[in-house]
Amino acid sequence: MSMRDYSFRGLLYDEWEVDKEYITGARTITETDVVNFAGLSGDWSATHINDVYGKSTVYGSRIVYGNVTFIVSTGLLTQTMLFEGTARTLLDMQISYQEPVRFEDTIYCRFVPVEKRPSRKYPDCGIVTFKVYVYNQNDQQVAEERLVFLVSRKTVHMQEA
Amino acid sequence: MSVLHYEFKGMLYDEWELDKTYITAARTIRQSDVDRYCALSGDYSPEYTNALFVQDSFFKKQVVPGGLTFIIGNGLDCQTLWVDGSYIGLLDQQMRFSAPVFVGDTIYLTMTPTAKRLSRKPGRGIITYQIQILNQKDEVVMDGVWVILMATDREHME
Repeated sequence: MSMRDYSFRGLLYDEWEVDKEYITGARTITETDVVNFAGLSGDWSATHINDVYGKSTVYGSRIVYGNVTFIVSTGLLTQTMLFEGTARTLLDMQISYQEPVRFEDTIYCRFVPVEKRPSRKYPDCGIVTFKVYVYNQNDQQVAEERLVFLVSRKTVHMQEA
Repeated sequence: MSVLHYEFKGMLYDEWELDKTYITAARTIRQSDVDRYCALSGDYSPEYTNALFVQDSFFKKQVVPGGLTFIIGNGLDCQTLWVDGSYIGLLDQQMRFSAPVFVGDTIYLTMTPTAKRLSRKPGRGIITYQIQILNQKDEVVMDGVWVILMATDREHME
């Protein structure tokens, strides 16, 4: 027995069922997430990090970066383990934002595989398109995403680096 | 003189020229950026956190999360001050991943306004940009379209 015997728990291409709905856990977005994001991305836009300015905007307060909502949603998706080791790469993504997310809002995702096709370039993989709907604690939709993943058709194991 | 007197430096709706390509400075992506990305997003996928998970048929080494390339591109854009105080909100972002990014790669972003229209609400316009993120070899690693809500008048803090 070694760590290389671990079987990744993500669903294989053939196991994804088109039109089946999945739901993720939820996460509260805090001010800490916003400051960490500013530091990592280098995006210090006043809308998100200047409270005086935030109060003067159409939102009436600072708001969370759209991209924090996006990357937290990808974290929530991966934490379902349904993508672990089998979703090999993200090919395409589209995000639209419907409502601002505010500090201390709690978001979660509902996601649905909407399309599947085998990959011509990588015969041991297929391409799965997901629609992801992100909601806040009042079940208002705050963002909608379309993510296209290359997904393995065979169980993946670790190998010598 | 107070915090309220700061003059924002961003370009207003009218100042963005259609079909002109704007180019940002560049940034090298470090391993610590990847670590912080995982910590912030909660996405610890083996593609970027497990050295034994070798993508034998793919890239041969650990890749940088696509979301990290994307947000660093966003940050490079903001650091130019082009949208300082003039950006109101993001409406839509679409990106296609065309080449992998590895730790140590240096990326920069170009943005080209391709369409502009005024919003029905006064004081705002909608600009559609063609976006490219390129690496040190000038290979396109991501490309796509962003739609940004931009102010038409200089806003002030109140």
